[in-house]
Amino acid sequence: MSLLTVDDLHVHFIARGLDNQLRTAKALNGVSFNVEKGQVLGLVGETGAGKSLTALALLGLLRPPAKVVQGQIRFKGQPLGLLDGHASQGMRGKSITLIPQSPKTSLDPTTRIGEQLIRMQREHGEASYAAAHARALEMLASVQIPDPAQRMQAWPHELSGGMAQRVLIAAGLINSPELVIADEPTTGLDLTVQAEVLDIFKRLVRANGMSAIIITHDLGIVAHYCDRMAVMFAGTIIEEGPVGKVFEEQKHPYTQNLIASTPKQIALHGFVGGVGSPPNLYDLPQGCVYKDRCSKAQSTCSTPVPLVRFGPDHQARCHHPDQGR
Amino acid sequence: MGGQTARIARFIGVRLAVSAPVILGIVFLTFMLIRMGGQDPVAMLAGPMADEAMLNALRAQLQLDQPLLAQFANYMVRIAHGDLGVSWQGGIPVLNEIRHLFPATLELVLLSVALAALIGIPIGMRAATKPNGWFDQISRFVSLAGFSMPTYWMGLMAILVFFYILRWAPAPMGRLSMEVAAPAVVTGSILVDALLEANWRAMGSALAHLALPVACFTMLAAAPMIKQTRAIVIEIMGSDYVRYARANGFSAATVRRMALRNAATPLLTFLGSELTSLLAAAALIEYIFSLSGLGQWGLNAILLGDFAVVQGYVLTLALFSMAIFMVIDLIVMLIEPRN
Amino acid sequence: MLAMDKTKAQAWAHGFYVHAIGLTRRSPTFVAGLCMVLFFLGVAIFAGVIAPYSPTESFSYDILRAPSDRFIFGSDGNGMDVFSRVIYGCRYAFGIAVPAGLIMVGIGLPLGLIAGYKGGLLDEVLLRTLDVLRAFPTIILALAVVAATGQSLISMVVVIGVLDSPIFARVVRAEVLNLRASTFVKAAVAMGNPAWRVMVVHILPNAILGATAQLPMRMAWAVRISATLAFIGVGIQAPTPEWGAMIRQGAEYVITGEWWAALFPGLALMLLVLGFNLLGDGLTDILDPKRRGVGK
Repeated sequence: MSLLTVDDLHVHFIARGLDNQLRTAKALNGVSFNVEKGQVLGLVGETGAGKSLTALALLGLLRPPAKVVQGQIRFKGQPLGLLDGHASQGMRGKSITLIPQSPKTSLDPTTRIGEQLIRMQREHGEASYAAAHARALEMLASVQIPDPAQRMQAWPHELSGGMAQRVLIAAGLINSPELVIADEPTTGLDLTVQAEVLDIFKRLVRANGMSAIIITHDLGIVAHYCDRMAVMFAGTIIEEGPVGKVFEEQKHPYTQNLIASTPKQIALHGFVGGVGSPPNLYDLPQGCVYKDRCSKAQSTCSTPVPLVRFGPDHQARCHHPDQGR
Repeated sequence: MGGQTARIARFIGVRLAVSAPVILGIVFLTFMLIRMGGQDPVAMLAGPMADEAMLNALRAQLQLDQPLLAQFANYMVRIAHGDLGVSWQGGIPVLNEIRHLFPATLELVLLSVALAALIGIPIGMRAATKPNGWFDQISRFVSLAGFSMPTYWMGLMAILVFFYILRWAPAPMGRLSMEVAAPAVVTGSILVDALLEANWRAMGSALAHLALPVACFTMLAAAPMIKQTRAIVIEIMGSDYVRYARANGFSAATVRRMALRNAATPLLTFLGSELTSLLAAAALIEYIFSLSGLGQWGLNAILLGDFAVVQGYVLTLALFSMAIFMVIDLIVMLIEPRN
Repeated sequence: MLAMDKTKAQAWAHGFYVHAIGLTRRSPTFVAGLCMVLFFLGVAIFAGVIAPYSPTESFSYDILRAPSDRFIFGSDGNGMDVFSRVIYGCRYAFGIAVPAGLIMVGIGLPLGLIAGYKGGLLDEVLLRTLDVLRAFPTIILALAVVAATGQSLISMVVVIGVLDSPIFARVVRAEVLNLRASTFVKAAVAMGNPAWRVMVVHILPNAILGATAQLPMRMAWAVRISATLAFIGVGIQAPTPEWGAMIRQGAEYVITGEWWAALFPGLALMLLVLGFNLLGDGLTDILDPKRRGVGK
């Protein structure tokens, strides 16, 4: 049994426009993936593909006008409540935690760092203040924050971006969760700092046997830090598999396009082009969601797309996956 | 803690230095404005029986025949000596009268603002938790309605209903019923002085007389408070750190406490500016209910062209406003970690 | 031909209806405020038709009559019909608020634009003036100036308009500061547009959008303060049918229970001010970018 199973998740946003008509944005269209114990999954895709929304669903934070039309998420076999409510509250912050974007604004500006780490524990059952304090110190040390005892007293605005992100990692791991979700953990950080932060993250996750989902649009991060990757486009997972295999084989045209668009590839092979505009979630095409941007689109692409397997753990949703590699 | 005291001292020093020109500007503006009115205070003082010679003599005595700037300079010198001049109506020293009347205004304003905050802030918070929900819409509408009412009209209607029709409130004349003896003056506030003396009769009467004016004034003050609290809380609730706290599974109570801590600064700042603007608006309420406050006196003085009184009134308000801003900013500086 | 026109009109009406419903859902406050303001505007325009009597026509035998068939809102201490006076009072309300609003925009808009864009001395002066105004009780200022410049309607309008300008200018300035840092303005500057062109063509239209929500609020304030001044006794002379002045006249009768002379003008005043405030509130809601569209 997988630690986490996302099973055919469909999430729609329903709103009323100025013309009084109901409009539906189909934000997630059949998202399915698994995360095993001890595995790090990279969730990749361009902005608006639905990655952060998936994270919200995992945490049970969906609110109206979001509506779960279909599908389920199971954590250790038990279904999770996806909508903001009490059902999943026990899990959040304890078994499943989030390391958010924008580290500096995610910390409570009126509370000291140490207090926030302690609060994180006490909200989830740690009764002893002393024990929480000790653990907070321990975590600060493990994310390599210099002089942790001093830093416990620091205010969030006194930290640099990199340090704040490390504090967030500490907070995310302090309750020894089973699944950590890191949402674009390197936004706004310098390149060197990015590497440091991710190294610390991966080391800690591995050391404690945790599973992780790293949400990113940076393929380099996926390549270096993840075991498996799932590529998202317009609310659909279009390819999923072990990192090495997906990079090698690139079965789906979008995967190919994505990889070819990294600066290194452009430098080597020139600009591929044909990227186009983001899909309109209010008006998705019939059949394959990638059809309008795909260089290989044919008439059959307007029919429902099959899930094609390439081995036990690698699959793609395409009518014409690349068989060549 | 020496560093803290030094910080406070420096803050106060800088603030005083910066405020001085503003106060000066206000005093100067008032000085010039009130003299533009074309009223001739000398004629008012001397009475209808005076002739030309007496008027001129009086004018010279009051130095009203000198150029305006010279008069202003004289005034500033006298202020430095604590002399705020004399009212043309009866020769009462302005400073004394201010000390006499200001507590009444303060009483009204402080009570009303406190009540408005007690009512308005929780309402604003509740409205913010479900923006555009029914509670929000209704509270916004009601508070706007209260705010749109002209204060003096509200006062009149309140008098009509609660005094004339229901006979609940006492006659809107003064701060105490006529048969009740006033307590010994300590602070100038009848409520406080009566309390100090354990003079319950006076206190009861004072409260009864304050009930309607405070009620009207609170209605006026509550609306901006509701609106601003709502805006502040909505912004906080939409912030990254609240979202993160929720993602961490913090209990609703914890999130609320967090929001409150973050709301403290903007709310305090807002309260400060509300207090100062309401201080001026109090004049109308005092006028309707004859509360013998500073505002009523100042208002009359403007209409009559009683220069020294107007100047004294405006100066008092300006100084008080500056003081409030300074205190609030000081508190904010001390509690806000971002400084 | 006629059949086609009819369907076009029908289509237009249907479209209007649908959009009106959409707008009401979006912000009922806006629509409510708009209806109220338009109602009073209509009354002001058609006062001559609606009012049963002339506002200054005095009936010496009918002093302080309670509301009845003859005098819907009763008659006041001078024997004049309160209903007609309240109706004509609408004209005064708009007659003060609109010109004052125009003055405010006329002064405040360029002031805020230049101060925000150029900064420097003008900006400093504006900010210092606002500081002074912040501590200075505005009503006292208005009172003093009107008392000083003469008891006329015009001086009142001018004073209110001028006093409102710094506040409006500050709002405009804030918008301008935001826009100045935006990429498209920077691009316009980089392309070599002269300063005045950037201000007028690029910044102005966008700044106006943000400042528009302030306009109804300021007009609400103009109506209020003009009535307050009239109530205290400056600016308007009797027997002008201005609401504040009417409340002043009616006030002395409230204690003896003749409530109608003071109630109705105050009610009208409150409703118009409320209308403007709702309008402004609703406008802020509608223009608030956070309210637009659907979450991600």
